[in-house]
Amino acid sequence: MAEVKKKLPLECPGCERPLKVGRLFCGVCETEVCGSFELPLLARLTEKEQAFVLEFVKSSGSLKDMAKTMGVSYPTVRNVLDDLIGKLKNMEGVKYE
Amino acid sequence: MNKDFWKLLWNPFEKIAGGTALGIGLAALCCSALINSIFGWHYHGLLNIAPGPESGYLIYLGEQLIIWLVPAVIFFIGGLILSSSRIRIIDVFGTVAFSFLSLVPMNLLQGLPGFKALQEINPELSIRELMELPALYWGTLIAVGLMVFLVWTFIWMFKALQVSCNLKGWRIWVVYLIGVFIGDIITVQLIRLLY
Repeated sequence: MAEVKKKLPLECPGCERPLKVGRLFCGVCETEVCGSFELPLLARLTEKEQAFVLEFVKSSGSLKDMAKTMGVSYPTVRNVLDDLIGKLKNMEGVKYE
Repeated sequence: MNKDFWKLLWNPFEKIAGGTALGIGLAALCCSALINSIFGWHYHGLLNIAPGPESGYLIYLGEQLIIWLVPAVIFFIGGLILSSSRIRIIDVFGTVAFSFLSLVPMNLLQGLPGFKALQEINPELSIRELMELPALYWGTLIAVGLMVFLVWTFIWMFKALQVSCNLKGWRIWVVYLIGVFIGDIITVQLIRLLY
């Protein structure tokens, strides 16, 4: 049976607050780690935003190259980056409850 | 015509900006100037198009350059003040120039005999006499077509500002409305200097 690709949920379906990691386990030795861990900042981005960040790194930070690869205009790429910067700054300022 | 085509028609600046948009836009402005010089239509301002005195091609080109540069400069200054992004002057000027591409078919429609006949209708005729004129119907139909292209131009100008300056919310509306309405006042004064 083909593996089903799952999206990492980021928000609580009940109250829409950010989710935390409560359990991690090793698939080889079956060791389990329980606790309350915050998701890394980058993991809290949407799939599209994470793909953009990966593309940014692969292009060595060249927005011009990214625009060519993605087939969009330079200001479009720049605007996405600037909006992402704003979002990350807000996320850094928000405290986990 | 797939979804991407309509998306491009609504906002071409997701794909086209910078030098490419500027090149296409300047070619469109030159085309418009040529069409207007043939049919005798002058741009007396950004929002004011009407017949005018017989003039050389350079006057018509001057009008096109003024209606492009004035809102472009206002958008650029607005972007510098209100945008949190580092904007490039070539993106602002290029996308605004490109947005005038939709004026080319509008200028062509203005040259149709049906539209010219509408301008020549005697306004002192009675309503019954007016309703019997075929020119009224054809001219009105062409005028509706003109409005579609004119509205399209203003939509593209909004999108040009949105993409080139990364403005949102109240900021984009303030800069856009100043660019269009104050821009019209300024273009009227500058175009007068050409004659």
